[in-house]
Amino acid sequence: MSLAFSAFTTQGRRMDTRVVSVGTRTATTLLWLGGVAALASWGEFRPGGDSAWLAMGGVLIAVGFAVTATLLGLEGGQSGNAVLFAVLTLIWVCDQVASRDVGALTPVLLWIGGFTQLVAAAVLLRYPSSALDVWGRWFVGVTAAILGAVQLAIILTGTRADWQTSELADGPWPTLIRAPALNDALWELRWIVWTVAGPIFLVLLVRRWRRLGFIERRTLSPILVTAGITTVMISLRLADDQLPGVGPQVMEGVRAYAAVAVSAAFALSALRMRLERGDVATLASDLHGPVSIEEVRDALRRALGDPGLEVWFWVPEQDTYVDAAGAAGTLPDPHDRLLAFVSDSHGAPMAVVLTDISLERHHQLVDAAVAVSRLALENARLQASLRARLVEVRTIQTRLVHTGLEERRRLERNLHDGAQQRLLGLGMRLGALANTVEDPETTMSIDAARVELQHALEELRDLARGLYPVALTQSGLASALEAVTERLPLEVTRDVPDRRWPPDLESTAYFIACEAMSNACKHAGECTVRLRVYEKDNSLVVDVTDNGQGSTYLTAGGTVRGIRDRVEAAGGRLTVRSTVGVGTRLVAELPCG
Amino acid sequence: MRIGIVDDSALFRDGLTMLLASAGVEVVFQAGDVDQLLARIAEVPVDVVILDVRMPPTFTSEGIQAAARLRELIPELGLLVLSTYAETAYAAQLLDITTRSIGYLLKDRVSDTATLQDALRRIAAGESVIDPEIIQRLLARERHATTLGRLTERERQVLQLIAEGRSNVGIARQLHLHPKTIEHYIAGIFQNLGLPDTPDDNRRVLAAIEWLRDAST
Repeated sequence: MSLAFSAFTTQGRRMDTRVVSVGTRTATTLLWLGGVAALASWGEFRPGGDSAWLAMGGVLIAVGFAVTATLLGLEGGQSGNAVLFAVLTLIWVCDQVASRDVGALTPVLLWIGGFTQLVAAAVLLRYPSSALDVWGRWFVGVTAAILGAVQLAIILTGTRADWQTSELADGPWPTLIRAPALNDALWELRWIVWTVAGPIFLVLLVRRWRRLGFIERRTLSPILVTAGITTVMISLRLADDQLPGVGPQVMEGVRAYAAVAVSAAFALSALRMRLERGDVATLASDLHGPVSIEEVRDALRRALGDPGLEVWFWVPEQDTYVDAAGAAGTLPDPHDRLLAFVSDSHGAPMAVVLTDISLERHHQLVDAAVAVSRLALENARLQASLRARLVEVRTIQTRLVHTGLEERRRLERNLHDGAQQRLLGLGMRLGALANTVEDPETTMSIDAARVELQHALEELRDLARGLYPVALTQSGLASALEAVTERLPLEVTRDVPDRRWPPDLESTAYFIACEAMSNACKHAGECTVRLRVYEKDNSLVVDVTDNGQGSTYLTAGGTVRGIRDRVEAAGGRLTVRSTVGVGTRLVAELPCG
Repeated sequence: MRIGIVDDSALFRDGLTMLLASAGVEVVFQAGDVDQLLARIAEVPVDVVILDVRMPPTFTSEGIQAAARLRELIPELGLLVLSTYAETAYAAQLLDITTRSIGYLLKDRVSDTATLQDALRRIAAGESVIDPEIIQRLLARERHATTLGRLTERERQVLQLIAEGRSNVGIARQLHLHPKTIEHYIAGIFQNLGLPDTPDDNRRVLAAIEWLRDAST
């Protein structure tokens, strides 16, 4: 009783903590977004200032950045980028506020604000990973150093008026040396830095896009495309003067809104990643009731947006994982695929979900999806182990066929090398003896013995050839079937390509053809046989057709039982049609591999 | 006549050696596989080598490959390939190598001294020798019935002997006829079968067998 009570209170306290934590987070978020919006719009919408839509653009960019920072902060593993976005937000706000009435702070804020594009570029080159690559680091580092120095020099050699700040802007300016010519040159230099940095950034961006996994491409493409366009627009200041009827003011606005688009794309992508978690919630309803392996797999594919996702199941009897088809396999390297292991209710291994490695950054999402589908996976596992059993049966069957054929080859060879050579040697000795004997009675006895020996040899030869024709191993189906049809007491037209297949397949096809032709000899009466062997749809087809009397009992099973067994053991398909007065056609299709 | 034997079965080699000795033919060496054969033949010159088709290492058609190699090394050497089974495909493969001084016979055929001696003599004389069983089997094919039906009994006999590799003189002797009569028969047969007549006995063998095999109708 007390135990239950204590458990209840613990539960209650935990709930309280959660409520408080959610409340605090919401409050902080609102304060952050509200503060950014207020600061960015402070003093913006006033008569004589920038046009209202231009001012609005600045505010939207700030809010967009702030929202993205917040969403990234809520996402696991993105805290670094969230901080960078928060910094970007603040730098942008500094740049916006600098043109207001902030007195001595103006030059400081202007200097900080000059880094806006560079910080934005750094985030674009990182996200969603948490570090820049070596080229990115060089690019950001070098540009930051040059830009910082040039901006500082511009401020120190100029006056407040250079910055086109409005009449409100009044206050001290840290002019070190008044040198208008130098100042103009420095402004020019700043533009050159931007026009050089812009294309380099674009190259880095394209290079990065090409290296992304498909899932990341889907998420990042809109951001990267808008960023690319914006960069081009910022770099092309020439357009200001060359586009007829478009003033610098308009271009300024277009640039501002392009930046808004980047910020919005970012926010949308972050939001999308959060919404994808919602897809996982629909998994539960998708997987309601008994479902097949394929249904679970497809539901997981949809929920995680990974069309290459696979589910493997643990089969304890075989002590291995099997794929959806039931074939045993070795798990891929965890560097190539993300592996999410699932245990059954007793903690024993049950299944593993293999996803694209790019989902590693969203492993929480994968874990959630796997957790939701656990019950369905447990059901599907029964199906998987059945399939695995079937695969095993098939493997054993193939092995038995192989062993049987191998045994035939071995017996034939033993007969050939042993008994046959011994008897042939004996025949030679008898022949030699006959040459040396002159007594007619003895010669007659020897001749009689040689005739007997000849019969024995013929019987043995037929037996050995029936076991396994050596021509099959040596020259393939065409030769072996030529040899066998030559000895048949009926007319056979052959159409067998002179090419090779795997030994067991050739043997199976050979014995099927032999048995079918021997059936024709026995049951079809006076007839001719057409034997065709060809490959079709990755199957080796043996087609034996006769124009004999046809026989209903041939299709009934008994006679073709042997052939059917061979075909089935090889995993193939047999069709037999027999019409009285027309003939019989037997078609065996054997899978090639 | 000097003979070399290569066969992986010692029992068969000894039996054959004994048979040849009893017929007064000298076996100058025996070998158990192709390598041994190649080593011995360089030291001991022979007129004809008797080879088994199936020999180590794969026990399929080493004898035929060895025959091809020997023909290249020592072109004048006679070659008699023996086989436990009479396979048309093997006979055809051998005739593809050459039609001169070459033979293919069933192993039990040669326990008869007369047959063996006849074969060796013909091979040494440059003829080709093909086992009668193979030719009989090919002649018995139903698909040839119509064409062969146009031949007389005598002509069919001659065709069988041509395909076995016998020369005009050999056929004449066998059938107790004059060689001129045989030439007459042969011209008739070749015309009936639509084969180009050639005075070269050996090329005639190949043509006859190819016609009889006629694999894809």
